[in-house]
Amino acid sequence: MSLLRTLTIRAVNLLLVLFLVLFLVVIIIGATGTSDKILMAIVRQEVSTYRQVTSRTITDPEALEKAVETYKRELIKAYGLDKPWYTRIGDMLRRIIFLDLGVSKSLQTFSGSNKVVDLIMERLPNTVLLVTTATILSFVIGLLIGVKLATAIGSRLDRALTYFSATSYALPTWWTGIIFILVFYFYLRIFPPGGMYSVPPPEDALMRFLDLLWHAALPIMVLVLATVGSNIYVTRTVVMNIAQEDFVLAARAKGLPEHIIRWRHIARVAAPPILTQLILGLAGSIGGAILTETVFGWPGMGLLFYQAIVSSDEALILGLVYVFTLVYVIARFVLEVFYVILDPRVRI
Amino acid sequence: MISSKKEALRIFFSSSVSKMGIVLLIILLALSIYALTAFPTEYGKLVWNNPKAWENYPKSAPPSWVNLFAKSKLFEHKVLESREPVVFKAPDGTVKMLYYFDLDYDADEFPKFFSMSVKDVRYWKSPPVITLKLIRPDGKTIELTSFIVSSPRAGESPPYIRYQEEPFILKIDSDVNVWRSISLFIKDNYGIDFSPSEISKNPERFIFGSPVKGNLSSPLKGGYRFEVAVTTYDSKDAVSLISLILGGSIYGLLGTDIIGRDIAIGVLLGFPTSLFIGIVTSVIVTLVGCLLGIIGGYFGGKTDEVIQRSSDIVYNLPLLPLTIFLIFLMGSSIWNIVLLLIVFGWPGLTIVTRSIALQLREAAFIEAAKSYGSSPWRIIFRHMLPQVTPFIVAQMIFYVPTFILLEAALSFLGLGDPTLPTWGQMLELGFRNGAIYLGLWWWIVPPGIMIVLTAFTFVLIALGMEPVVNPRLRTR
Amino acid sequence: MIHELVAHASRKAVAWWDHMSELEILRVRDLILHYRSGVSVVRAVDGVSFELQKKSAIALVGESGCGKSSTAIALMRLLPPNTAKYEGQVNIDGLDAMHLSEEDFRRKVRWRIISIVFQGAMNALNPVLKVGFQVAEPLIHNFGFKKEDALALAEEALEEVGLPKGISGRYPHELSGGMKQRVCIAMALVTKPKIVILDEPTSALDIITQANIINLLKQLKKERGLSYIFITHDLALSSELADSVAVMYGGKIVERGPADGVYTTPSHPYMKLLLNSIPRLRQDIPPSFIPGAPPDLRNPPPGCRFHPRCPHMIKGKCDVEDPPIFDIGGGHYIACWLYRGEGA
Repeated sequence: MSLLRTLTIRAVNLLLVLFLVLFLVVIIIGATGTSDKILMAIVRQEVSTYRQVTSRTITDPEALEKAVETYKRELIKAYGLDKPWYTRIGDMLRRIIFLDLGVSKSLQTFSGSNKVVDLIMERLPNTVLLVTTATILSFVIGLLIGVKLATAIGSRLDRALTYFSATSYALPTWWTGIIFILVFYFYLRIFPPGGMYSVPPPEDALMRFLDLLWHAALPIMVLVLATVGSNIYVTRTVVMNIAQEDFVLAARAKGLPEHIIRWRHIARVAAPPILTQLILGLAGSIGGAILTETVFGWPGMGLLFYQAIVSSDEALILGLVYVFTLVYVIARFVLEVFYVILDPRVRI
Repeated sequence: MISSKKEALRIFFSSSVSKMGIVLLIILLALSIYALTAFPTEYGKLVWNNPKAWENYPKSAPPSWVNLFAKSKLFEHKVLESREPVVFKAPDGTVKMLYYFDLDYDADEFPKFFSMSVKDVRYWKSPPVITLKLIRPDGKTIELTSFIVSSPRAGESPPYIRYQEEPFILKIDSDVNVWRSISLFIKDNYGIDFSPSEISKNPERFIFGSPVKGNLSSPLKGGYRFEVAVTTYDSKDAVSLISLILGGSIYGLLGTDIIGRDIAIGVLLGFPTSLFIGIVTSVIVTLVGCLLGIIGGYFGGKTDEVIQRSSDIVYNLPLLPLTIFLIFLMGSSIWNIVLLLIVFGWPGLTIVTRSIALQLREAAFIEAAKSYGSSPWRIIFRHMLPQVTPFIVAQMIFYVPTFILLEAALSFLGLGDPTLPTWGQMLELGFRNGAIYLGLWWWIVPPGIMIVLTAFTFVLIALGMEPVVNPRLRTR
Repeated sequence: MIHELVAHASRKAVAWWDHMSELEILRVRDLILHYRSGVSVVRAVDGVSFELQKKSAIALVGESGCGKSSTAIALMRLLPPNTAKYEGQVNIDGLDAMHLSEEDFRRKVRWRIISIVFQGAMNALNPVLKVGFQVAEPLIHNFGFKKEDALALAEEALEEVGLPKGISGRYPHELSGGMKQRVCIAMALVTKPKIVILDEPTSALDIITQANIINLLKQLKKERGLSYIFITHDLALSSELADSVAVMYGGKIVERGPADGVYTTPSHPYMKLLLNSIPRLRQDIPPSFIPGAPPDLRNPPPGCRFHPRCPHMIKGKCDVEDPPIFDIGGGHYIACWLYRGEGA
C-alpha cells in the first residue's frame, strides 16, 4: 500500500492517454492530408526565407529561381514529403510534442512573431489564470454553501438551491456570458465588453492589476456560475450521506468535540467524492474556457482556438489540440494526487 | 430495491420537482409537434436559409409588443394580402375586380417603405389594367399609379400567363409615376408645390401624412383603405394574389434578425431539432454504454480488459477541443455531430454499469439461472438489465440536456449543421453580427432561454428520478 | 431493648442500602426516547428501568426492533435530529446524567464512564484515518494526552485485545471483520471506562471469531472489573456473559433478574415462549414459534404490549391496562398481570 506506487500508476495511465490521443490525431491528420498541408506550409515558409537571404547574393533572377527550386526540392526530401504520410508518423509526433509546427496563417503575437509555438505560449497563461481562479472560487463557494445546506435538508432554502443547481447546470456558459455583456455592459455600463486590459493598458502596476480584475470579473463570474451549481449539489448530498454514517455516530459517542467531528470525520471523508466532482468537471472547464474566451474576447488559448477554426489554420489547430490535451492531463494528475492523498482506500 | 414500476412511479411523482418537469416536457413536445406539422421538412433549407424569402421583412426589428412600453408608437410591419376581389361586370364586357385592403394606422412614425406585389395574372384577350388607389381617413383619395400588364408576345397563345415565377413588384420608393401622382395630389388638395424628386426622398410621409414644407410631420392616424382595381376584358381573366407590404420598424412575436427572418419561427423550429438531438444521442449513448458495461462486467477476462481500457482512455479525453477538431476535419453535418457525441460519451455509463454487473454476477439468482443452463445473453437481457434499468433511465434523462447543450455550444462556435435551424446557430449569427454590442436583445435572449428551458426540463425530471434510484433521499 | 433492636435493624438497613447503592454503577428509571417519523411518533424506548452492579454484566435481549439499540443510544445521549421525547432518570456512577449540560455530558460521561462498541464494526471506523489514531482520539481530545503518548496507549490497547503489533498504522479497509471489531473494543477500553455497552458485538462475525471475542470480553471483565451492557438477540450468547438479564419487548422491559433465574425459570409469557422456541438438538420436541408479529412502535397495542400474542391474556385487564413492574423475589422483576398478587 503505497502512495508513490499508486501515483506512478496513475501518471503512467494519463501519459498513455496523452500519447494515444496524439497518435490517433497524427493518424487522422495524415490520412486526411492535413499533415501534408502543414508540412508544405513550413516548407514554403523556409523557402521564402531562403529566397530573401539568397536574393542578396545572387542577383540574376534565373539563377535565383534555380537555387530556390533546388533548395525546395532538398527540403521536400528532407521532410519526407516525397514519401507517403505514414512514413512520417514519428516525425509528426515529435513536431506536435515540441510544437514545431511552423507559422500561423493569419495571427500574430503581441511581439510580432507568428510562429505557432509563440502564439500558443503567449496565450496559455491567460487561460490558466482565468480557469484556475474560476475553478477555485467555484469549489470554495460550493463547499461552503453545500456544507451549510447539508444540515438543512428539505428546508425551503434547500429546495430553492436544488432548483438553482438545476438551473446552473442547464445554463450554457457562453449564453450566460452574452447576457451578462448585454446587461452589464450595454445597459448598465459597469463592466467592459471584453478583452483582458483596456486599450491602452494603464502604466501604474496597481492600476494595471485593477484593470485586469475589472476585465476578468465578468468571465470569471460566468465560469463560476456554470459550475457552482453542481458543486453545491454534490457537496450537500455527499456531506448529508456521510453525516448519517455510523462512524460519525461513533465519533460523537467517543465524546469528541463537535468541530473535530465536523472537520476530521465529516469534511475529511467527504473530500474525495467532492474532489471527484472537480475531476469530472475538469474537461468541462476546458470547454467552458474556449467558449467563454470567445464570448469575452479574452486573449487565451480558447479564443485562439476559435480564431484558428474560423480561418482554417490547421497548424495552429493541431498545436492547440495538443496543448489542451496536455493541460487537461496535467490538471487531472494534480487533482488525482490530491485524491490519493486524501483517500487511502484507493491506494494499491 | 424497487418492488414494481408502480412503486417507482409513485415515488417519482411525489416530488414537485418531477411534476414541474413533466409539465414542461409536455409543453416542449406539443410545441415540437406543432413545429413539425406546421412546416414542411425542407423549410430549413428552402426558406429559412434563403435570404430572398425574407426580402420584404424588416431587418433587425424588435418584436411588435415593444410598442406597449414605447413612448412613441413604432410602425408595425404589415403584409396585407387579398385573393377574393369584389367583381363588377360592366355592360361593355369589361370586368372590374376590386381588391380592398384595410389598415388601422396608429403609429407615430411613417412606414419605412411601401410596395405592391401582383402574383400570377392570366388573361385571354387584352392585358388587364391595374390601378392602385388609397382612401385616407381624412376622406382624401390618392390614385397612386396605373399600369398595364405586359402584352402578348409573338408566338404566344391565350391564356397569357404573367408574374407566375416572379411576382410583379411596385415600389413607391422607386417609381416615378407614383411620385408624380403624389405631387399632383398635394397640389390639388393642399396647394403646396412639391416636385416629384422632392417627394421621392420620402414618399410615405406624403401618402400617410399631411404635408408641411420642410419638416417630417406626424402620420395621419385612422382607417386607411387601399383599393387595387384590376380591369379585365374577359370574364375568364384572373389574378392569384395581390399583396401590399408596408415596411415597419417592429415585427412579430420575437422580432427579426439581420436577414429579416422571423425569430419566432426560428425559435419554434428549434424545438423538434434540439429534442431530437438530445434524445436520440442520449438513448444511443446510454444503450451502447450500458451494454458494454454489462458485457464487460459479466464476461470478465479479456473482453472486460479491452472494454475497461478503452473506456478509461476515452473517458479521460478533453471533450470539446477534440470534438471541435474532428468536426473541423469531418464537416459539420448533424450526423457527424451525433456520431462524435456518442463516441465520446459512452464510457461514462460503461464504468458504472460494469461495477453493477460485477456485483450482480455474484448474486444468487444469476447463479441459479446459470445452473439451469440459461445462455449468457438471456441472463444479461432478462435478469441483469432489469436491475440496472432505473439507474440507466435516470442517467439517460440526465444526458439529454448535456447533449443539447453540447450541440448548442458547437453551433455557437460555427460548427453546427447549417441546414438545420437550431438555437445555437441563431445565437452564433447574432454574436457574429455584434448583436450584443448593438443591443439586439430579442435575437439573443429568446433562443438562449429556450435552450435553458429545455435543458432545465430534463434536469428537473432527472432530479425527480433521484429518490427512485437512491432510497436515502426519499422523504416518504 | 426494643428500640435498640430497631436502631440496630435500621442501621443495618441503611448500611445495606448504602452497600447496595455503592455496588450500583448505573441506575435507570423510566427512560423514554421517542422518534418522529413522518407524521407519527415511534416510541422506541418507552419507560425502561434497570440497574447495573459494579463488575457485573447485564444482557439486554429481545427481537429486532424492540428498542434495545435505542436504549443504548439513549444512555449515551446520542440523540438523532428527529427526537420527539427524551426523559427519565439516569444515574451513572453517582452523576445525575439527565440534568447534565451537553458539554458536561460530553466531557464527563462519554468514554470516561461509559463507552460503546457499535453493531457492525465495519462502519464504525472512519475510512480515511489510521486505526491507531482513531483509538487514540478520545485520549487526545478529552484527556489532554499528547499525540505520541496517546498513540502509545492505543498500541497497548490494541495488543491487549489480541491484535498483532503494527496494526495501528493500518487503515480500516485493510482489516478483516473480526479485526475491526477488536479495534472497536480496544477503542472502547482505551480510556478505561467503567461501563462498556456492547451492541450486538458479534452478529456480523463467523462462529469462531465470535467465540474468540466472547472469551476476550470475559477475560477483560475479570481483569479490569468492567461492567457490561450486552445487547443481543442471541439468547445463547447472552447466557455466556451475563450476570443479569433484561428482556425487552415493544420498547419496554418485560422481565429482568439474575441470569440463572430468568433463563431457568422464565416467568413472563414472552420469555417462556421465546425459550421454548429454541430448537433442541437432542430432544424430540418440535420447535414452537410465537404467532403474530412484534408491535408497531408507532401505534403500540393498548395495555400490555404483548397481549395480542399472549396465550394467557386476561381479557379486560391485559388489553386495557399496562402492567406495572412486580417484584417476585430474588431480584427478579416482571411486568405481567399474571403475577399481580406476588408483591409490588
